[in-house]
Amino acid sequence: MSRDTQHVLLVLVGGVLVKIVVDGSYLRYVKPWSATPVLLAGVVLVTVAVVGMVRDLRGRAPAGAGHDHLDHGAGPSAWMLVLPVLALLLVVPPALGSAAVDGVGARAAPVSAVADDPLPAGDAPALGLLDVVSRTAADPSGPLTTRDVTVTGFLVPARGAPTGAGAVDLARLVITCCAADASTVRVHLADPRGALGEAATGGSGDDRWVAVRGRVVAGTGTPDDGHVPTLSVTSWSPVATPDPVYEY
Amino acid sequence: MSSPPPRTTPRPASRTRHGSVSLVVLCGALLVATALQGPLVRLLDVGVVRTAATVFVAVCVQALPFLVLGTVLSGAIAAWVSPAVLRRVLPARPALAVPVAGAAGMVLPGCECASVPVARRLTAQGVPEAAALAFLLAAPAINPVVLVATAVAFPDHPEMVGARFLGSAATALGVGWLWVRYGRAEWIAARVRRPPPDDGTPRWAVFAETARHDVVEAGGFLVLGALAASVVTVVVPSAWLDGLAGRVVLACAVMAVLAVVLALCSEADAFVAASLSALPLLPRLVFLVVGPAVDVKLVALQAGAFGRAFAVRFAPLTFVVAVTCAVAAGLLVFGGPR
Repeated sequence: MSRDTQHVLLVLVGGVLVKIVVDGSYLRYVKPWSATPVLLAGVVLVTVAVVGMVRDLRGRAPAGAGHDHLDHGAGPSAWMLVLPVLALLLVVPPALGSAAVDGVGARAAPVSAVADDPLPAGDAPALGLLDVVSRTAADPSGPLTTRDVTVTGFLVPARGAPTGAGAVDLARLVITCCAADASTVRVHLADPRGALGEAATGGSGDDRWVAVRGRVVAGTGTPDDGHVPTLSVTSWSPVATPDPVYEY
Repeated sequence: MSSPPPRTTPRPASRTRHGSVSLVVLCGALLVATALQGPLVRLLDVGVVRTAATVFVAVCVQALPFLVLGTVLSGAIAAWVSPAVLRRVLPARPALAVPVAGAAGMVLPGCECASVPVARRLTAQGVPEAAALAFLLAAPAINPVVLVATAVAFPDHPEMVGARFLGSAATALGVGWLWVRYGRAEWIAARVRRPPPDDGTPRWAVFAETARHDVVEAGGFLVLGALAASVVTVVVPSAWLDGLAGRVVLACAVMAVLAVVLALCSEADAFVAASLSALPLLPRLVFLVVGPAVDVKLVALQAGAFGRAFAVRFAPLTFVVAVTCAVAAGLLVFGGPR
């Protein structure tokens, strides 16, 4: 691969890195704190390429032994860099969703069991799913069993649900570094009042994002049930895909 | 380099022609892909393929900043750290330089993608290969960020941090010393040991040229590794891990292989290991020690940086040493498989 091509390729790679941070699609792949490193990496790549191009235009490119050393390293493998450029320019793969719950993200998210902050004030405060599971693990008969909270997630077919819980679980993907290490946090949904209605039947296809209001059934979410509490549903509503789409 | 060809023209014609060819190929590929965008999107929108595409891009986006950090450091070393300085800092005997370089690895807070270009550049600047390799293995595994991440991931098992440090440090030193004793210079591609020419090019230009060269070369291999990891991630059934709970030896073997094929970032692997709570601590420690030392992404990067002849020897060596050190460290710290 010639110097000119390397420069163009680096501008493209750096450019897509800057692009995904600017348009926010980087949150489909990495954590929010990655914004700065990804942006910096993009700027550095573009700068390095521009410096190289300017030097070439002025005829100051290393000649003779110099370019022997520096040019011949970029073998055919360098062409692989075209792949992420094409993927991010043309396709922009979507965030992992319910399809990943039985595959890549099938592991249960690690539960920290240290959340002893008081619940946020207000009627049915919004909590993260991982937060609910962690608080329940810390205290299976704590305030979550006596107060309603609102949690957001997508519906997936229930797995290992206890008697009394319905046919769907509420799930969310948790990432630590990037989407490759995704894991699943889930709660079973119990529906004593029939509030779930048609949502209770397991469907497939696109992710069905919902906000569910309810309270944790006392005694669930312990090591015995693999830290999957059962949430008794009061009401629910469909919602748009949240942004960011993962929990952390 | 010893007998430069006569320079009658400032640029050899072949290079100019070659250059235009690859640029045309690149533009052509981009045009074709753009024209086929619709079918391409549909092709990648099928269940497993879509997941693999997301994981592939995620690994690339996650790793590229660290690779860029590594190549910037590599460029800085090439431009401003002369071989003479490195010779003064490091002990003359390779066997003593190994632990010093390994300790230096503790202060580079990156994951494995950053350490490969740096280790390659250290070799180019005359650092003994064994010492550069000890640095390569130590930097991603025992830096403060990784150790803190491990402590956060295992709040109930603080001894995991010590065990991981011990196992990874022993791996870096062990491989370094084995390389002093048995390593052969010809296994590493000759181009690696050629320092950048000292022909009056300004320092900042050497810096930019080296960084560009390293990022193009290593970037291609990184993408290759990310591709392999994403395929494995969607192909390996998660049910594999069920039923390993009672079999420690088998669990250690499976976790060692998983660490290689999953190619997780060393700052994230502790959380994955922590979530596999059905397994005893020992197999999970093996996962944490092997992962930063040898995985598909790293082997691809190493093949690019040091040559294939190097990679086919170094990867199995590191794998065996890492598994051994992890098991030894685990038995020592945990007092059993647990």
